[in-house]
Amino acid sequence: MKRVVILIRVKTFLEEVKSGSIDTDKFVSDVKASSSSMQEKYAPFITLNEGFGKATPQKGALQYLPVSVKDCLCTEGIRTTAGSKILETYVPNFDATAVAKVKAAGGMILGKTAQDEFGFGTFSTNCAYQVPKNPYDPERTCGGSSGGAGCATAAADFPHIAIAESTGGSITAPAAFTGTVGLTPTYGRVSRYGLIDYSNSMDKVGVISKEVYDSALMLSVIAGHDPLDSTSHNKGSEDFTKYIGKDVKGMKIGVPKEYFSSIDSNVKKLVEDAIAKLEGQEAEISEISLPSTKYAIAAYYIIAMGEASTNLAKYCGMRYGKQDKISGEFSEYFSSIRSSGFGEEAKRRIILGTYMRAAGFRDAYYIKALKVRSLLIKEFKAAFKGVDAIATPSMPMLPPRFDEIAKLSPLEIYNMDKMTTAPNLCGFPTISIPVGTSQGLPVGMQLIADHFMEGRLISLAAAAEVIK
Amino acid sequence: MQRVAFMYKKVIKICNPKCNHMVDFQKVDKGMLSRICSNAKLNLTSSEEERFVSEMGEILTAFRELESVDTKDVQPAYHATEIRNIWRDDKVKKKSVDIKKNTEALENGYIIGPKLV
Amino acid sequence: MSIMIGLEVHCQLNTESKLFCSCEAYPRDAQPNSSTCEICLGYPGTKPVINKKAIDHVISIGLALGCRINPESYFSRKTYFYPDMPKNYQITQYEVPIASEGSIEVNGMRIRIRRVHLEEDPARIVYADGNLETASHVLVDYNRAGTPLAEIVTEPDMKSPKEARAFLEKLSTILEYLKVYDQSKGASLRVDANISVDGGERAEVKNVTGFENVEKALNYEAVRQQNIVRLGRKVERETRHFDEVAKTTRTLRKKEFEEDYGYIFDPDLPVLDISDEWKSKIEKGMPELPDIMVKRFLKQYGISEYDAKVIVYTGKDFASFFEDVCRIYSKPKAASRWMINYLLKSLNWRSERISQSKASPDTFSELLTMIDKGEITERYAKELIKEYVDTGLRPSEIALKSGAKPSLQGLRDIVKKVIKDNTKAASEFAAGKNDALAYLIGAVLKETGKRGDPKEIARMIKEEISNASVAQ
Repeated sequence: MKRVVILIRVKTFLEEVKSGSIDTDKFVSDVKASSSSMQEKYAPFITLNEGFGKATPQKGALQYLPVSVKDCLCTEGIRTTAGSKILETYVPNFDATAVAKVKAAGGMILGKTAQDEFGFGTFSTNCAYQVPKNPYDPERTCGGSSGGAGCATAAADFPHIAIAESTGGSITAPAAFTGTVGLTPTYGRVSRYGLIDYSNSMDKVGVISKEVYDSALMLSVIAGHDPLDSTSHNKGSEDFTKYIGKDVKGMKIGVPKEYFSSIDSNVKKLVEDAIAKLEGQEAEISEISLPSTKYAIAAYYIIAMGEASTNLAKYCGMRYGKQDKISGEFSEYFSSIRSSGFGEEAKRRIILGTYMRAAGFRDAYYIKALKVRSLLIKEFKAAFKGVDAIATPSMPMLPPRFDEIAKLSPLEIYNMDKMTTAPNLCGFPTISIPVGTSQGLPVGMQLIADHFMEGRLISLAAAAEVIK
Repeated sequence: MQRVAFMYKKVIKICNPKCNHMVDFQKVDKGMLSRICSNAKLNLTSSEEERFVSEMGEILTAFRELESVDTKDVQPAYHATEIRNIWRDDKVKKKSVDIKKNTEALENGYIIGPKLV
Repeated sequence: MSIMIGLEVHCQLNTESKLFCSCEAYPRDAQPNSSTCEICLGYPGTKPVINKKAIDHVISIGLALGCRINPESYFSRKTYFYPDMPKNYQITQYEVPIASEGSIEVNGMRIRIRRVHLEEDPARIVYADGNLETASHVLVDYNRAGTPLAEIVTEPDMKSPKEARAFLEKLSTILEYLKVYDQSKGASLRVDANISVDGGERAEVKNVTGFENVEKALNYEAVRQQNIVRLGRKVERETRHFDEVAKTTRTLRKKEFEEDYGYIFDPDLPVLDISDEWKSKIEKGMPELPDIMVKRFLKQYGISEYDAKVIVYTGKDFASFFEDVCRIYSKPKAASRWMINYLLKSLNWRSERISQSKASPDTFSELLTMIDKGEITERYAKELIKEYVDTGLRPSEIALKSGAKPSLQGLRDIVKKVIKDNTKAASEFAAGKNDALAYLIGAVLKETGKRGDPKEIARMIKEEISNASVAQ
């Protein structure tokens, strides 16, 4: 008697698929039904894949696994909007490399998850489509910009893994706020080909999942060199699941004091407890200092907005996306399309980015920020000489309510990224794991490791993880 | 190392031909905003303009804190890790892109665009 | 009034695939947008990967123009909006180009080269109805988008439109010799010309194709600007467009200042590290450059400097042809004379390059030998060359066909006949009057329709007459 679905672990599911004990047809139809109802309740998706389950998936490590994809990754034949109205009609002719790898491994694309437009945001409230609601409390944010990915992962009552993306912390924030695991690989570990660009020197394709194992498995599938992406590292991939279960005895964890001030006390307590738990497993905890952290937000946003303002120049009503009947001189036509197609935050960032790279200003902003990045990398590298990983809270507060967010100024929102911007700016891999709830709301701990040391993160995260 | 430092100095010289003084960054007025919008092909409503001018001032002031960071002799980091000399061989791979899938603005195979003047 | 001219030459580089994607760079007879992919169409999510050959080519150009090859160079994004831009930013090199600070000599003038860098070509705009001003919309063909370009920027060292043209002609020959530029593939050179008079503001005439057009555009601009200055007004800094039909320039837009482009380092691309080894490898593999070839020709073939320059600068194929001819036919001076004064004329008349024509060193050498041996007269040879270039037939065949080359026996028969018909002249010559010989030769030539070598004819006449005397 073949089993059907639900609430089983990804690892178990994949084993059962292999052994032939899953009724895959029923599974597909149940997942579809469940996704629709999830969509109604929490709106994690911008587009559900109508072709889900129609073709038999490849025999691979992920065969029959439903995989959601953040809407900034191109999926052939499935509408891809990056959360923006300016791409409302865009249907890519090709798969992003990470997506192609998922499909080659037998993963089934469930749908495209909601996000802040082009990645511009911390709460997914800048999504030009429905804003995803936190399954723990639908009046609160799922975090952003990969809010839909976090939402779908938390809400799914079937085995599922989300492909997400982080530029300044867009995997860590939703993972923290939705009580899920968020793995942000080293910059260059996963190909960015087919990822709609926010900030090319910082964008990273990553994973949100229920368990550390799932993230490790997915990373093994999507990591690796891609000749189509000049920034993808030739380190290749490996079986990252082998790092799970490794003894963390003797592993050195640094706790930077700069990350534990001016944060919610409940968050602080839960993260400190989690660190103590690792200490209980004989990891060595030490206090460290990362004094340049306070400059990370400025450096991050300057570079990100500068690069983003050039990346968004291509959206002008020609060849794809929002288009009108061609009329008028090109300046008029382009401005008309862009002004009606972009949301407010996108416009803000384009304007700021354009300003900060204009001659006369670019030295003080853009070039300066690039140098500050150098300094931050150096500071982290020095710290990593003495520790194997750094532990911080993932977010400085509990997931805020939508009405609270509406009152925040743009600058106040930017400052909420203060836990995640430094490691993201510097391309270090991070993992966020749930470390408990406060007032019924999830809290996450962020672990940071040196470039290409995802293995360490996985070992530590697995040791700190509580498997439900 | 010295060679790199020499090249870097050249970069700064080329980047900064006119800026011998500190521009008053906090003052982002409507005129400046308007020039940027024209450059970036964006039309703002008047209420957007009002809001943006004040927000930009606030944000740029905050970003200016980087001025206090000593970056003398520090190289800019274009990427998180060094990425050098990545390229491909000069070989042709034919592809066919279905342009019609994403636009109807086609005329005899050409893509239609707005006029120049 | 003093004139200052600086040029920015965009050379489409000789590669198979485009600069940042693997589409064919020069597709033949291609339908619009048929040699494109999601990368060169600027679809969201795509990323550039550099074509190494394009870098090699720019290094070659830099070396040939006496530049310093920078050990580190970077790619930049030049952001501006235009319907021919797939991404509304062009990937180019702003801060540090591949090559800097060189110079070449043109007619004794030193023209400094500011930089040589690598960048991508935008798409091609076509006006279906009307022209730039009147068209209601534009039509864009992205086949050209992404073609690798070397941009060669000079200092404003040229002092006249004529000088600018001379520079361009020399530059394009160098590029051709380097094999980085191949017109036969469909590659083109486009020029942005900057001109100012009397130290005033400069105007830029954008996108001019054809060196004659560049000279015309600059001539027009020089006059326009000088007129403005004479009226006591100031020339405005602006970008202008050259109307090929009217041969005038018109305002396109007010010149965008550098800050409008908001240059950033392109974060999708690596830093270029050009090692000494790489540089040496390219240097060693570089073909002989025109100036060096001219010097060698003077030494090796003993021809005049003028001749050497014409041969070398007509084109590499022309120079190779000359060398091949000299291997078969051992008189370089004669070869040079006939090639420059006659062969080249016929080729130009047919608007053909020698490599495209039916002429070959083999058959051309045959012609030269025939002239030497007196089998045909020089006068006739000049006629024959035209047919030779038209048909490619062996000159001996052409001559025979037209009866131009009388057989020696045929000639002798004519000589005999003429002597018989002109006994008075014959006997006067026999008596020692040399005028009579000339008269007889003339008579023979009249018969042969001016064919036959006069010396040969003279010899035969002497022989016949002395035989006759003996006979008598």
